This record gives sequence, C-alpha cells and structure tokens, in this order.
Amino acid sequence: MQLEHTLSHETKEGNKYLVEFSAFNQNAIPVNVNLPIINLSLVQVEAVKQNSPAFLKYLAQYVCDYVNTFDVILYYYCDTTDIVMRKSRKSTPQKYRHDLFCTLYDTIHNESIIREIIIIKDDSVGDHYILLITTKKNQKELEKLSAEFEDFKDKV
Amino acid sequence: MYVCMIQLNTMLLKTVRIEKPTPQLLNLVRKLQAEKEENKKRLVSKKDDFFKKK
Repeated sequence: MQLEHTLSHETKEGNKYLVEFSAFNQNAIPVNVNLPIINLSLVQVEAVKQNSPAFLKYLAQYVCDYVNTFDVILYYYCDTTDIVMRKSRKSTPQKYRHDLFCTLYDTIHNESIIREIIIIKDDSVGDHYILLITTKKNQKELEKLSAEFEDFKDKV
Repeated sequence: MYVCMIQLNTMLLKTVRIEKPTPQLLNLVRKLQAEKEENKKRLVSKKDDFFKKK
C-alpha cells in the first residue's frame, strides 16, 4: 500500500468503484498541521444494481487499515453527486452520504481510529459535510485542524 | 465462568457545526468542492485504465 494510490474495486453485484488517496496541494487548505492531509475520493464509475452492505464495510475497513499504516489525517468531503435513496428519505446527497459514512464507522471495530465531523451551513449550494479520520496518537493534530476550521467562523 | 467480549469501535471525538460561516470559509469549502467534482470527472474518464490493470 502506498501513501498516494487509487484502488479499483468491483463489487460482487458488478458495480465498479475507484477509491483515490491523494495529498492535498499545500495551498488548497491554509492550515498549520504537522501531518499530511490526504484527500479521500470515492467514485462509483459503473452501477449495475444496489450494493449489499458488504462493500461499504470492506471500504470502511480498507480506510481504517490505510490510516493505521500512514501518519496522516484523512479528509473526506461528502459530495453533491446524485445518489440512489428511498423517496421517503428527505435528504440531500451530501447529508445522505454523511449519514451513511457515520453509521458505517460507528460499526467498525477499531479502537485506534478517531474521527471528527465538520458541518458548514451553506444556503446557496447545500450544507458541507466533512469527515476527518486519523489515529488516536494524532489526536492533537486532528484537533488543531478542526480548530482551524472553527476559527474561520470568527474571521469577518 | 463468564467471558465478556467488548468490541471497541472507532471513536467520534466531536461534531463541529458552523451555522454562520464567514464568506472566507464558504469560499474555501466551495473551492474544495469544485476541485473534488473535477477530480471525480478525471477518475471517471480514466476508469478503463484502472480496471484493465486488474
């Protein structure tokens, strides 16, 4: 496993996914954190039918293994691309992805992994949901990063 | 004798809700969102290369 790589995965249902781990351009997020911030992208490139939960569990475990291998903070931004969800569920694609990932990581048994969630209200394009993941030993750096996001709200 | 199994899950430290973001923060996250959408398009356009490699 390399720090920056792209995983291609075909589920047993025949859906195809690309999962990319890529370092942020240092100018992209103006932060003072002593760890690389790695952008996690999850893209469904071919949809045949609805996935079983097995794929999501596999993905969450892969991400946990990655974070346990490298000293990084993983940044996952829940994007706005359409996603299949029940009609009765009144949610945006971002919120749906966020709920899905939270449920998933709540069930993964890995005591060394810690997470923080940042939700930023945006009436124009929909709220932003950001998930930060790292290991317990990097808790201070994680808190530093989320504090920098929080500080932004005071800068007018 | 009873055996107690405890499963320790990933830990959510906290959820930060920013209800009144500044224009600077909104610009930053919107820019990151746009970059992410572009990155997705790039990955989709290269999908055949990735699945051929397998």
